[in-house]
Amino acid sequence: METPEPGPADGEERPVELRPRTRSNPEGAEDRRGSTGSLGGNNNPNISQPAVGSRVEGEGEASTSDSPPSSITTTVSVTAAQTVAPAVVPAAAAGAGAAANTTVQLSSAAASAKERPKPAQPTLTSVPTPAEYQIRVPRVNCPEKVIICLDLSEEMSLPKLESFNGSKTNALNISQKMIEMFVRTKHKIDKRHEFALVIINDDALWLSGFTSDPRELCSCLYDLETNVCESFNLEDLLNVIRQKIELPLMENVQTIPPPFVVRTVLIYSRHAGPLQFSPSEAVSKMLQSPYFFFDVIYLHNGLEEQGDETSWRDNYSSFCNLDSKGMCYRFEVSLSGPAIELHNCMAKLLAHPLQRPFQSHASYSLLEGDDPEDTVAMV
Amino acid sequence: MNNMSPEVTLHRISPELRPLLCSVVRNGRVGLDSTNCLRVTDLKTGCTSLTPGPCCDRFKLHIPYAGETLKWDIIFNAQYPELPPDFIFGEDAEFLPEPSELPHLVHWDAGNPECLLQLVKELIQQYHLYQCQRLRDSSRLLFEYDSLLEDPSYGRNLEIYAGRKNSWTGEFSARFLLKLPVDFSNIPVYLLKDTALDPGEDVALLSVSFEEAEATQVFPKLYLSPSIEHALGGSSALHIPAFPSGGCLIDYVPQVCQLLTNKVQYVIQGYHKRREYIAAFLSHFGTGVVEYDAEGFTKLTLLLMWKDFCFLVHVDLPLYFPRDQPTLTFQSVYHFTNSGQLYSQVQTSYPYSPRWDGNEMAKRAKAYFKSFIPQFQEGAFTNGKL
Repeated sequence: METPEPGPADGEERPVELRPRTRSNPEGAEDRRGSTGSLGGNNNPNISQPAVGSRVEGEGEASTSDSPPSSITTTVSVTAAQTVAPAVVPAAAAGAGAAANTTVQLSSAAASAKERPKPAQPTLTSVPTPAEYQIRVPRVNCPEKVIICLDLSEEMSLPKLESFNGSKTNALNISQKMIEMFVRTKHKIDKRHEFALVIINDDALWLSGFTSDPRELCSCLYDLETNVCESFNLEDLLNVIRQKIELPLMENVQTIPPPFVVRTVLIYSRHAGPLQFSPSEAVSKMLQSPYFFFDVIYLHNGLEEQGDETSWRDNYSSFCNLDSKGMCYRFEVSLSGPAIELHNCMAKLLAHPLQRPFQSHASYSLLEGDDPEDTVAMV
Repeated sequence: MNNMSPEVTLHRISPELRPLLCSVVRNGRVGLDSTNCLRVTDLKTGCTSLTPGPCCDRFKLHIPYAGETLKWDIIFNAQYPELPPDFIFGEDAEFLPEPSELPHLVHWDAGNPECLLQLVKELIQQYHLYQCQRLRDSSRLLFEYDSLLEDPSYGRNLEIYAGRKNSWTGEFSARFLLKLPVDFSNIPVYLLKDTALDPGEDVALLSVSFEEAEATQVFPKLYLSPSIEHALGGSSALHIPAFPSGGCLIDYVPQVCQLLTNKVQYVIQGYHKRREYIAAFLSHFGTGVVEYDAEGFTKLTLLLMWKDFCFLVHVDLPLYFPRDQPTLTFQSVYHFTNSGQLYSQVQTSYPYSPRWDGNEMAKRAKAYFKSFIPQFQEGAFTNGKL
């Protein structure tokens, strides 16, 4: 996840120390340091830190090609269709094998690497997860139901963001444009995706959705007004959402892809006090579901008012702690910074929750660097 | 009295005969063209009008055969339901099958619900032989038939209709319907499952019409079951070469089979190649993946950044990849067009070779992105609306 520091909020690859440098920890699945806020000491007690290499190796782990010592490994899976040709050896996943999992290991551009001698053949690694960690859902691009929650507190209309031409604009304005970009782009990628819009004043109000027509959502997006809001009632928002959705229940989470997933994207900017949140059982259950995701963009004014600095970070950490599975994306963006940061966060949120990398592994500046030392795919 | 649904038919038929007719209307697929079912029309009764219904005991059965539809009258007697039916074979007054070749007639068992259906199948077999006999009127067509018969992969899956077009002049026409021995079993399932039509059996049927006895006017036509046609790219999959003049079926039919087999191979290969391509792209760009088609590997979207400028690349992989080049669509995340659409630019002719493997394609794509992005960004800021 994004470590809350000033600077580009783009999930740029961090130096080696955040992720162990071994093939046995391909996705950093056991490396939870990256997933919890490293500030504020609000460590989620559910997450423990295993020793590197303690994870059981998959039986099918194919190639034993050498990993250069300085490489950082990330695993990306290509989920094969069910009746894939026999060239692919099915992973010994739990339960009746439905989707086979193909894993291609790769090193990031930052690593010094040797040229990969052969074409990347998808090979298989089963990725068994110890019981205390989340179960990995198959990486299929099933339809998403995206609930966009827009905070309409007063801070959203303060003209502090710096737009492309240098003039000042407000967060609501940018949010509207980036939400429109988001729904139109998702619709272009897959027409089955559905969208809903929730606005948050003192209470959460379900404005539109679900609809797969981006224009329908966009028609509700403009003509919105901000006002001064009291404290943010997260429980109320999650209840409003819970009443409108029904999460899939699959017999075998690891092998059977769900018919859809539900993702909440919260664009939040108010600073009225700490987040009060003691979730009911039903809400907790929703948050725990492997098919529910809660992404957050936190717009803060942390750079300006030093006195409040702790409080926005506290709030931010509270959001981070909602994510017990380590699967969600969180961004913090300064309200007085460049507007492009906000656009970029929304762009990063386009990624399908089942197919996107862990946020700490996400990297987009892939065109930098010279070709010869580019990626090495270890298969 | 046309086009009755099976339910109506069964409702009106005399109760003792109902089980026999049930197998026919519900499971009745005979012959090569399994997409067409047997149909029943003209349900009538031989009983007096005082007899309480339902008591229908005779009907017309429509049977698809060699591209034609045979219409046979089947006549039971409601008062003696245990007796086998009589048949009138439409206009084929000369079709007189040997009873000894019809075991389900000789050993008619009214208590066996499958009996009528089996009898119909045996009759159709005899009908086929009868039609083949009629080919003797044309030595040319008889030759075609005999040569096909020698090859069991064709000979066993053949229906022949030899009609007399003009009994004055003795002009003759015939139609051969062949089920082609093409293996469709390796077509990736995702290509087959999306058709809204009942898939049924996956078949390829070749119908060859001879308009006259000397085989100088020959019209071949290919039929594919709907899901196969869809999987092979739609109606273009039905294109086959014209029948060569002076040619014969035993040379032509294998050509068509080979053409279809090649198409199937392309489609299968295309699937595997696309999969390899996507795996390679994920290897190179996976940390910025937005979405990809994890079933058919037909598309992939990446989010990339160049000097703080975010852009998307949508990759669309065609059915006959790698022969056909993937389409790249670049999209700005900041800009819209004047009409409010996403600002994007499509590239279909960038450096590409179908001979590159997936990894090479990914590397070349990266180089292409680097060279193209500066002008794309400039275009976006110049022409796009923020």
